[in-house]
Formats: sequence, structure tokens, C-alpha cells
Amino acid sequence: MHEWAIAEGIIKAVEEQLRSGVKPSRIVVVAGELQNLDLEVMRGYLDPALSELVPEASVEYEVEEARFECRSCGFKWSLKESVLTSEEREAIHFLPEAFHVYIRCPRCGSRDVEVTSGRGVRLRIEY
Amino acid sequence: MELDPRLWGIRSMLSRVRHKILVLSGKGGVGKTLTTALLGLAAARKGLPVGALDLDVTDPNLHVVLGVDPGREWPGERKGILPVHVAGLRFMSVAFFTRGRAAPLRGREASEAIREILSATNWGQLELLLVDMPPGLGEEMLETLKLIPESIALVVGTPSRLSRDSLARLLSLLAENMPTRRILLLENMARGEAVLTSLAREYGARYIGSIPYDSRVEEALGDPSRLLDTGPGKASECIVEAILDYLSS
Repeated sequence: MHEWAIAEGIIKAVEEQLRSGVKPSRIVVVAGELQNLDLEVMRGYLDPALSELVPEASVEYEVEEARFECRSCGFKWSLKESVLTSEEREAIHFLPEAFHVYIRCPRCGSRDVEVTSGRGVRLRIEY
Repeated sequence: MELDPRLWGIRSMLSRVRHKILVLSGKGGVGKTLTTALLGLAAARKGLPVGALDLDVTDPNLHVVLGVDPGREWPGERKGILPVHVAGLRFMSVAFFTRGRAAPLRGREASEAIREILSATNWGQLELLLVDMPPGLGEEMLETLKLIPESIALVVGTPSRLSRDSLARLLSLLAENMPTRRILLLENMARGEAVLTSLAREYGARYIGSIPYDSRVEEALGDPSRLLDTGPGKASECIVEAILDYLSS
């Protein structure tokens, strides 16, 4: 699964924090809506590994809404307003930047679009 | 504190790849993509586990050289995204996800795409990974050199004066800013005597050999067997040997 690769990166990042002598008290996995990850699958990989690595830390998952802004006309909109086929969603799941191929500004049709939030996965760590 | 887990994912995914070679050029049109394909195919023909990655995220075309239709092929999934197999070569490209269509990416977005592909592709165990980079000294090259600090730079140039001028800038940048990086120089579209050896010496790069110009290459594009039967294909087998000798020395 592709989610495995992302979870592996998160586990390695936390391991490195521990090696450098810092102990996280709270770990938040922020998943961008655009990447459309299966959070249950992610939890299946991450929860057992993180509870073993950092048993005292709380682990939370957040989905960040994907929003776009057109660089040509300034229009702003959300992923929910975009119509995508399942194949296009799959392509964006693997490579979020593929949205430049499949998503146009609903107002002017430009593909020079910026994703202003909710692109991919970030790891927020508190100590 | 916020972290990008892909940075750790990249290290993990490339941990079983013994040698990572970034195929670079200052200018487009010097045959970098063809060189990547030929070296990869020649190494695969020798029986080496080898991968080829097209990191030209806005204008990928390694799939054209290899005869892969990104509209039909779809990479599998197992602990990441699995490369597609072509003539013994493991191949990955952004083109699979853009279906070969134009993806207008700005600098930071190109870097995001590069991080994503590098952190998600499960190459398995490889002896060599050849990375076809976009031309130029900009965002994509700098980002990839930073993400894979142990990589070897294989700089491709032609005997043309225009290419040499651009090569000198690229080699100078690599030599000044990354003094510990291993740099190879390959002369492509060679016509007779090698002319880039002195440039290699000047910037501390290893001249690894030359690939001759051959007009039959155009007709062989998309057909790995025919490509290897051209003059450049045969020369690539010698270049692979030279690279392997260099890497083992």
C-alpha cells in the first residue's frame, strides 16, 4: 500500500527524534484532503508502532481541507467543488501535483492553480 | 515543530539502492534522456538490478524512449508504488500520474512532486538507479542533490561550443558547492576525437567515455532491443563497464 510508505517515513522521523534525545508528548498526523489517504490503513500501521516507540505520547489524526487559489484570476475554491473521476483521484492520491492536470479554475479555466491548504501529509510534534 | 515525513521516507526507500546516479545537463537537447535509457538498458542486459527514474516532472519523456505508454500502464502498489518493468529495467515516471499530459508546476511544486515520487517509489534492491533530471541549474536539480546527498552526478554534454559553455557552468557549480560529490562527465553525440576531457580535468570530474552520434537512434526510439543495437547502444555497454569500474575503485 502507498499508505505504508508514508507511515514508514513518519515512524523513521519519530525514531530520529528519540535518537536525538527528545521525547514527543503529542504527535499529530495532518493528512491533506487532496492526497485522499485511507486514515484507517494509516492508523493500522502507525498506532502499534508509535505506541511502542513513544507510549507516553498522544497520537492524533487530522484531515486538512484542500483549498485552491487561481493564480490567474484569484478565485478561491475547495476540492469538494471539483469534479474528478476515480482514476484522476487515484493519480492525485499517488502524486498530489497531478491535480494541475485534472483541476482547472472553475471561473477562468486556468490550470495555473495553487493548493493553499490540504496538499499532503505533515507531522506535528509537541514536546 | 512540523516535519515532512517524506524526507525520512526517501532515505528509507533508497536504502536498498547501492548507487544513485543523477543524470544532469546544463542545457536541454544534449541527449540526457536517451543516455539514461541506454545506460539503464545496457546495465539490465548485463543482468544487473537497475532502475530508471524520470524526474523531469513538468516534461517527462523517458517513457517515449523506452516505449511505455503512460496512458495504459499503471504502477502497482506494495509498500509504496512499484516501478513498471521494461526490458529488465524498473521504470518510474511522473508521466504515469499525469497520463503524459502537461503539468504546469512552479518551482516549489516541482520540488513537492520530486519529494513525493522519491519517498513513495519502492525500488526494492538495486545496484544502480539512474535518475533523468530536467535540464538546468535550478530548483529541481538543487532539490534532488540535497535530497540524495550520496548521489553521483553524471553530467552529459556534447562537443558543441554551446554545450561546453553550459557544461563549464554546471561543473563549476558542482565543484564549488559540493566538493565531496563524485562527478562523471559523459560526452554524447561524439564525432571523432573526444573534446571534453580537458573540461573534465579542469573541474575535477572523471571523463567516463563517449557515445557516438547515430541517426538510426531516432527510428529505434520506443524499442529497447533496437536501441541497444545502435552505435550509441553498443557504446553504452562500454560506458556501463567504465561506471562500474569507477564505482568499485
